[in-house]
Amino acid sequence: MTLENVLLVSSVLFAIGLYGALAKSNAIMILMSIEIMFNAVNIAAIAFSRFTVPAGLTDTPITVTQQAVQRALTGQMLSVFVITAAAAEVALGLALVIVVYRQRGTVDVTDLTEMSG
Amino acid sequence: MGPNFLDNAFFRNIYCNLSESDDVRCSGGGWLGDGLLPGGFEWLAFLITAILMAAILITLVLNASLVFIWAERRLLGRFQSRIGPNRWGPYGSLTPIADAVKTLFKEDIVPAAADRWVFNAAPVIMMVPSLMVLAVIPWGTGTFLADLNVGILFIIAITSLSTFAIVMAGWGSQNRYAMFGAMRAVALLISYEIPMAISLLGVLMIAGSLSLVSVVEAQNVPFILVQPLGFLVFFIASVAEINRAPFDVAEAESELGSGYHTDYSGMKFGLFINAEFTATILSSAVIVAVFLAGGRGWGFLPSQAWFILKMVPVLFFIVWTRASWPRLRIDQILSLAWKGLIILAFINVAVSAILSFIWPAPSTSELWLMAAINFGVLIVSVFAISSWFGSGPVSTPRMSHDEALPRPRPAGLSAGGDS
Amino acid sequence: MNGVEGSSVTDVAFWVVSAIAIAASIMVVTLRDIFRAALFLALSFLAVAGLYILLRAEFLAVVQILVYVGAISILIVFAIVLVRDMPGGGKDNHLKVVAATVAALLGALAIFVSYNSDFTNLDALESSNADVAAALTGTYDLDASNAVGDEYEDQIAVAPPEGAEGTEIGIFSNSTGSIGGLFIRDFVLPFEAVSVLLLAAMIGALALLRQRGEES
Repeated sequence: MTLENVLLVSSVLFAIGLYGALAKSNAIMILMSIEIMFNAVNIAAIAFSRFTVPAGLTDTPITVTQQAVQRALTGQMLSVFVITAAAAEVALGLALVIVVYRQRGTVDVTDLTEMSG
Repeated sequence: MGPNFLDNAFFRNIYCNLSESDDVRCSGGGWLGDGLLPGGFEWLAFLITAILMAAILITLVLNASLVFIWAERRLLGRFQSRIGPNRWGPYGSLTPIADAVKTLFKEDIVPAAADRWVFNAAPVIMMVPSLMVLAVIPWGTGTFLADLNVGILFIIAITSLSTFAIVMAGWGSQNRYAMFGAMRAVALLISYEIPMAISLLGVLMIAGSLSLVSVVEAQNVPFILVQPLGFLVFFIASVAEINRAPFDVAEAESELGSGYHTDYSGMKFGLFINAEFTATILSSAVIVAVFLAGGRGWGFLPSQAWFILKMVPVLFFIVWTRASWPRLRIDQILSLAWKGLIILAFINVAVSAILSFIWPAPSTSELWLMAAINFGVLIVSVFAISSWFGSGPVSTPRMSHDEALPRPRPAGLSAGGDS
Repeated sequence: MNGVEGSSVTDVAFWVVSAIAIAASIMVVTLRDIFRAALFLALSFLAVAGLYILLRAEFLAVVQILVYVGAISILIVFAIVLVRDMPGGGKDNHLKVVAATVAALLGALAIFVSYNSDFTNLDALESSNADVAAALTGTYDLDASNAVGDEYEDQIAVAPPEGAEGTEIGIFSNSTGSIGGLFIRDFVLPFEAVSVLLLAAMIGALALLRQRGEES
């Protein structure tokens, strides 16, 4: 379980999510693919926090301060904020999808073309 | 990440006998010689050992749920001035076995329009969160499957997985009323997760750690005394989370048939019922561990016996609650959660934060002082919240006397009579 | 899992969990039936939570289960139930080939960059420096004698002397406490901003979905 292997998994998940977000015509399916992309980014952030040297430990001679110990988990903090923002985004996105369904009777994004052309 | 699993003697024996691990605690490889599996297969030894230990614990808990089914039915009988089941075995003690045999022989009906995979998978997935919680509970000193240092949060997260099984049951039946029942049950569950989690924050602040073993060790005074408001909120929220009376709108024979398990019959239905009873036992185990200093007691009994002894009054109380109160309506349940329990839980968190800021590492006498302050807060806040937000003993829609049921007018009487 | 850290158990577990996550995600984007896709999405979230546990981020793993599987998946399923009777389900639009190409190219680029970059490795540093090793994996002492100031950030962690009991708050073994500390010290402004964001999202969702009487 090295950093490169975890980043490989993260990149593959991101690519799968990207394919779903671009190639699907159902709005809910697109939202699900965006969630997969969020997960891939979270995995990468946590892997970096686990495998790389934190910023407080790079100078010589190495002094391990309490602040460096806490700041080593900055990648996990990023993941916490990404999870929170993703939760808010999916809630609002689904509310919008339901409103569109009530107005138009469809959630197929290829049929919602009033603003194009 | 807490004590190593190899410190557990039973696990160590099995693991060292199976693998050729050169860990220093596996000196010699155990009584089977050098280890059964070849060199690179430590992961297989680990897997087999872990599965074996989990299987033993799950079997014990499932058998306990059978005993609890019998105990509950006898107790309900006594509460309702009747005898309860007494035909099978002495005092009806073989009734759960009779129930199981009856359920196994029932016809397993799957609706023609049902989504087969989802329909069949839902009862199984309902059992899983009920059983996963038992991994983190300290059943006595040194008796646990895993001492996660996020143990309390793990329990809350896993109990939130049962919403998925309910949604799958509702969808799998392809039945509008089952889906309505499922959505009501999910609304109930997610509403009560919040007071459950927030009430445990007070415990976290005093114990200083999310690990359940540390919480048990920090209870020189049991937390039911130090955090009475937290216990009250957590107890009500737990009873609601396991869909028991008085919160069992999902399974009662109400106006929507039987809710999300209307279309289930036979052993799948039995799995739903068994999942509920197992969840009851595990909720009471969590309450014992977190609030009743589970396993700690005087020395003449082993700590595992103390744990089970403390579970008995909690289970009795849960059955007593079922026997005493009528079923609440779904809007009453939701307003209890959002307007009552969440506010009480927040008050508890605020007071506990102030108290644990004043006394960061409380000794026993400071714990008693906290307990006294918290009891005062309990009485004041429960009365305040219930008088501001509550709506009386049983909230019925208020109708004026004239708008009530129309009085029948007998023909032939004078038209000038009053209404 | 102190006894088997770095051994074959975590490697096997890592590949199994990653395979489940990737397979479930592929099922999400290729299935026609939206409800099944939502179920596989929940499975992929669970697998990613398992991956977080392997990466020593236990708090984040349970937060992932609590938020993603317990709330977001249920929300997606509710939306699917409310907008049912869609004949197309999860059909693809006309950009399928282009999307596959773009996704494959981006994934390949990311993999190439990650394999050819030179990351400073924490495990290598740990094996060469006793203080770092103590801070990372378990017990260390906060040595106040050579602190340069009174703030928490100036206290220096050293390996505890022989036979003495240090404090077990290594970098990864108390991630909950460290995340809490970061929330109130270094990341207090994003914390408050995120709470305002959640409030705005709640109000927005409620405002969008209010019934106005004559609508269905």
